[in-house]
Amino acid sequence: MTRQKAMSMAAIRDMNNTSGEDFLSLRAIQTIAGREIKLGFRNPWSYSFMGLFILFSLALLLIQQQQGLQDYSGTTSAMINLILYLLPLMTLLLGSFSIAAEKEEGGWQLLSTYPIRAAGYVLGKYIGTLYVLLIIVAAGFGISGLISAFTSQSYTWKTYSLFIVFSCCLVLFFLALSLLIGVLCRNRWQALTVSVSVWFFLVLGWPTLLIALLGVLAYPLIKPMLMIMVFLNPAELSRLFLVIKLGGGSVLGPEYYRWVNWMHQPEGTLTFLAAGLLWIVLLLTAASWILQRRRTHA
Amino acid sequence: MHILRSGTVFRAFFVFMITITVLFPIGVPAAAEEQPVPLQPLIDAAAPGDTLILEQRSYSGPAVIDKPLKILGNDGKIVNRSAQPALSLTAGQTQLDGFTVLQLHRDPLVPAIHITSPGSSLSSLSIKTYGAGIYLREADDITLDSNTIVGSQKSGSTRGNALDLLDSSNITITGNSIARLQDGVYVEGGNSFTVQDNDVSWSRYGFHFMFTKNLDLSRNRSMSNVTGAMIMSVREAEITDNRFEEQNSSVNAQGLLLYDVSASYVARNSIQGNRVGIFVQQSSDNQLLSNEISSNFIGIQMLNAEGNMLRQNLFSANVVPAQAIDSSDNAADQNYWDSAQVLDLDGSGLSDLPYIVNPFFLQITRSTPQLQLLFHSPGLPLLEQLFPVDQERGLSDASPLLKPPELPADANSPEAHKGVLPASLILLGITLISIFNFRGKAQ
Repeated sequence: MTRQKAMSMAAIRDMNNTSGEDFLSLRAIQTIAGREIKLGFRNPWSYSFMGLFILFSLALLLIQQQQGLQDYSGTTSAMINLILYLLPLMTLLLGSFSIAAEKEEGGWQLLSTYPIRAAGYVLGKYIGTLYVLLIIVAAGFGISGLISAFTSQSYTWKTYSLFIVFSCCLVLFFLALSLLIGVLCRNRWQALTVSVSVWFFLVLGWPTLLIALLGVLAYPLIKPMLMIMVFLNPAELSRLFLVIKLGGGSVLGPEYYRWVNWMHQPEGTLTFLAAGLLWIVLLLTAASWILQRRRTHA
Repeated sequence: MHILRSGTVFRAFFVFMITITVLFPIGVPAAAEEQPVPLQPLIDAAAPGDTLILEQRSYSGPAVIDKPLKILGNDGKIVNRSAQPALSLTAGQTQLDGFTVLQLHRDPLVPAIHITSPGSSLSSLSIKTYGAGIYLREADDITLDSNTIVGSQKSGSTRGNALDLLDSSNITITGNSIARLQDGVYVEGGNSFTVQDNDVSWSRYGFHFMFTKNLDLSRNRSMSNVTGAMIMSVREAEITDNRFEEQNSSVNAQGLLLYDVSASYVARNSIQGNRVGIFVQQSSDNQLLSNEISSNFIGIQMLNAEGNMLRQNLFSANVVPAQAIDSSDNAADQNYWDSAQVLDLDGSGLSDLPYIVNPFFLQITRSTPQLQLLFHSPGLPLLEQLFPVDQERGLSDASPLLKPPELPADANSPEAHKGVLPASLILLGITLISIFNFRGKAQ
């Protein structure tokens, strides 16, 4: 705790030492991001998550003796679900803790006394935590890729790169959500509870919820409602995007024939990225707005 | 002015003459070389039983072979632009071997070769067609061997069937290679078919049989079609040692479809990478033995299928190994399921725990197809466990195998994938640099 505070002080000193106006709070963002990266790499949580992610990606690689990792098959679909169980939860916890802990320990109160805009703070947090999380993903895929290159059950290049992109997208989307959770929660306990509930809601309980909800809807409304819900859940959107890019879109049946064809083309990729970007921007804006509001009203 | 104008005229005439003299010598011999010889007069001139040997040049169709003949190609080529089949065999006992047929009329209902008489044999023909390939209409005792039939690049309904058989019996179809047509082998009615060692790709259905009797479909390969083999209303078929692969791009794709099939024997087929590996509907009393069903989106799907036997099949790396509904009365045991939880107390090599196929997802998607969007969603196992399995309606393997059954070794050798190794090394490098850089630096 004291180390964190000391680092906050150091960060502020850095900002004050450099002369001139901090245009668009770029320097503040840079300083906060840098500090976040340093904290992240000294956080034992990061390493336990890194270990967990490496362990599971290796276990999966070794269990599947029969088939190589390519296209949409039992192996890749198991991998998709494993990543969906693990990565959003890791991201939600690390992201929400990074803000909630600072509120709990007084780091944020200290920073609030300095002329740093909430948006700059949130963006700095986002970039810093993102770096740490992407390194966790890189470690997992680096080691499993290295081992797969020397064994028979290897990734194809297409699958490997798609999985990395998929994981990075999950991190990007869920990190924005986690910062909003961190802003809304008063302490780490609250952040933990909310993060786990959100993860359960978006990943584990999602089909149950959808099936229950759509059961009461009129039949013609089911499909449009499902599509809206998919775009509201980054886990589901990323999963479907990956399944389609792996060539498994036909499994969704005739109902989604045109949508799958659309998503398979470069325009589909753009749609997916635009939806993702919109999601990130909206959540980060909401987080900064709430943080700023609470600061001025406190 | 007058002189100038006549000069212009003269120059234009001069240029025109040069153009003519330059172009003419190229144009005329080329046209002469391309001019195909009409085939019909040659056939008319031959006596029944004669052998006609085609030269290495072009002949023009259409032609009707109305007497027993032997036409041997010496890499000869029959080009047909008319709306008639290039060759019509009306007399029977004809043998065609080793030439090329180009059917250039774009009509899916006009074949390159039309056979309405018995006892002919077609071998080593190379057929390129914008319509259909070979039609057999009530033509018995026909052999089609080692032919190559290729359709147009343009996909869709403008393609015809490669081999289209209607009410023909005692047919042998071996070693043919078919690509880019509607159905590879389409057979309706008839009796006694031997279909072996054929290869169909990029077409609608690889092998399509309806109402046929005594079918032997073996050692064929169907790849990247909408459906590998569609068997409908057939009894006592033998479907063995075939490969049905990569039928996965269409929303209706499947490796092997059995509809209203009974008392048939389906064994040792390799069914890989399809949307649905084996689709069984309203079929009964069939034996499905020792098939390898792997890497499909759905391994086997059974709807209203009763009294079938599933034994010694290998299910591995399918996204969902099996889906079944109203298919409880099947004898399934001793199959290998890579996702099964197994427990062997007596060391028999068979699990004491049954493998029960959960019908939940198939049930909800049958009533609401839109929910297929949740296929293999990470939250589904949780939901499926919440609902007790209705054993009366589902499919279950009484005693799954602990180890996969011995099957013929797969020739697929692991290929080295360039890019993964350097990429993983770069990722690891970035990881290590980041950790040492940010963790180790003093404050």
